[in-house]
Order: sequence, then structure tokens, then C-alpha cells
Amino acid sequence: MTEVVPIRIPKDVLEKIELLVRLGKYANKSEALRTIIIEHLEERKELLAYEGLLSQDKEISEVAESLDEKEFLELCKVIFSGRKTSVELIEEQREEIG
Amino acid sequence: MKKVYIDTNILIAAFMPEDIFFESSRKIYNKLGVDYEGYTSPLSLVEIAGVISTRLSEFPTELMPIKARKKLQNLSSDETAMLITYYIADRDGLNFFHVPGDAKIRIRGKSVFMPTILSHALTHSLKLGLRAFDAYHYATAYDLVHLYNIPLLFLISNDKHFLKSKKTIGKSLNLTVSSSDEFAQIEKL
Repeated sequence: MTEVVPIRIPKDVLEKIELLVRLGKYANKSEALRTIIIEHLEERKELLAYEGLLSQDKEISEVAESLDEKEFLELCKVIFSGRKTSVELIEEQREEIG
Repeated sequence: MKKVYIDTNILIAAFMPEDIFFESSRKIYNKLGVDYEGYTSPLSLVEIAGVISTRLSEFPTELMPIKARKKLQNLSSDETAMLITYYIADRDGLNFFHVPGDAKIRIRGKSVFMPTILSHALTHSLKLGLRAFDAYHYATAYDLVHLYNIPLLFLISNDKHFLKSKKTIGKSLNLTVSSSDEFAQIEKL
């Protein structure tokens, strides 16, 4: 199933597309643009892969802004509480991968 | 403003009130954007997120301070980790320096593509015998100084590997390698 989408593209890009059609690389402009878009999405998979997490950024920022510094430090104090020092916590990350 | 390279453990210590390096690290963190321009690698974000997500996975939510718990109640564990990471990273005068571009190295005729900074880290790792993440931070500091002419005065880290090689690293980066306590003492913070 396909849909028609009107797009504006720079003249020089359109000229390149027309040249590719004349060279027989694509049957027509529509097929050229369709193929190029599909190939781009295939090559740049990361554009969509992280969309889920990054799209929540606004909500997270709003919560972050609602926490004042004192509240945040109290939260960190509890979360980081334990026997490990700051050096050991980072060391642990580096040991595992490094 | 004096330019300094900040290792991840300083950023974490600045948010650990019970840590032995809290006082000096917090002073450094609070002076960023005031007296010091801080630089670090985007790798720090991954390291901070790694620490926080590990802690959160072991941490019972009920123990969170009530006010914070209420505000965080609609966030999942990974969103909470993201929030804390961003909160720590969101500081004026703290720059996450990225060396742009990709590099290609050849291994027995086979091309291996990687981010430029990773190829630099590989070189330094081989030369100085640094571990992967240390080499990545070192390469970032090295490129800041030698490729981008950012005159770093200090590399501040409480990492024992950096501190053990402080003379060699300091000489090659043309700066002083110091712990947060030493830095606070030298700079009279």
C-alpha cells in the first residue's frame, strides 16, 4: 500500500534525480525518491531505534525541573548509599568493559 | 576561566554526600561555569547512567525520599536513571567534548571502521597500556589539547590508574593530573 506525499526539494537535488532517471538507474522520479528514502531508512536504523526512549525526554525534563537541588541531593544520597565509594562505582563500570 | 578535564568519578562523587571525595568534588562541580570551564567525554554519560541503572536495579523504591518518590512515580526505572544522569550532566561550564568523524584502520588487509576518538583511544591504549575506558578519556583530553588547542591546566580524577601514571600522563598532555582533594588544595577551594 502506498500514499501520495507532496514534497518540496531543492532544484539541484531534483536535477540529480532527473539525471539518474535519464541514465536509467530508476524508472521515473517517483521510483528514484522512493528507493532513496527506503535505502536511507535502512542505512540509518539508529534514527528509529532509540526513538522510544528519547521521545520521553520532555516528560523527564519536566520532572527534573520540579526537583530542587536539596531534594535531588537527598535522592542521590539514598540511591548511592552503600559500601562502595564513587571511585569504586566508576571502577566497576570500567572493570566490566575495560 | 581555567580549563580542566573532569573524570566521571568527580561528577558522581559530587552527588554522594557520604563519599570521601564529596567535599572536594562538590566544590569543583559548583565552581564549573564560575571559575572553571570543565571538559569531559560523552562517555561519562554512559558511565554515570551505568552506575545509576545498576544502583536502581538493586534499590527498593520505598526507600526513596517521599517527595522525590511522589515526583518520580510515573517514571519507569530507565527513565529515572535517565533523569538522574541528565541532572548531574546539566551544569553550566561542563562540556561534553566529542571528536567528530569516523576512522578506518586496517587489520591484516581488512578495513575496520570506528569513531575517530576510538581509533585515538586504541593508539593511546597500545602506547601507554591504558584500559579501554581510561584510554577513551585520555584520548579525549589529548585531542582537546593537541588537536583543538584547548589549554587544559588539570586533569582531575580520583581513578587510581590515572593517579599512578600522573607524571607520564601530565607530561604528554602538558597539564597537572590531580585528585579532587589535591586540586581543591592547590586551587584553595
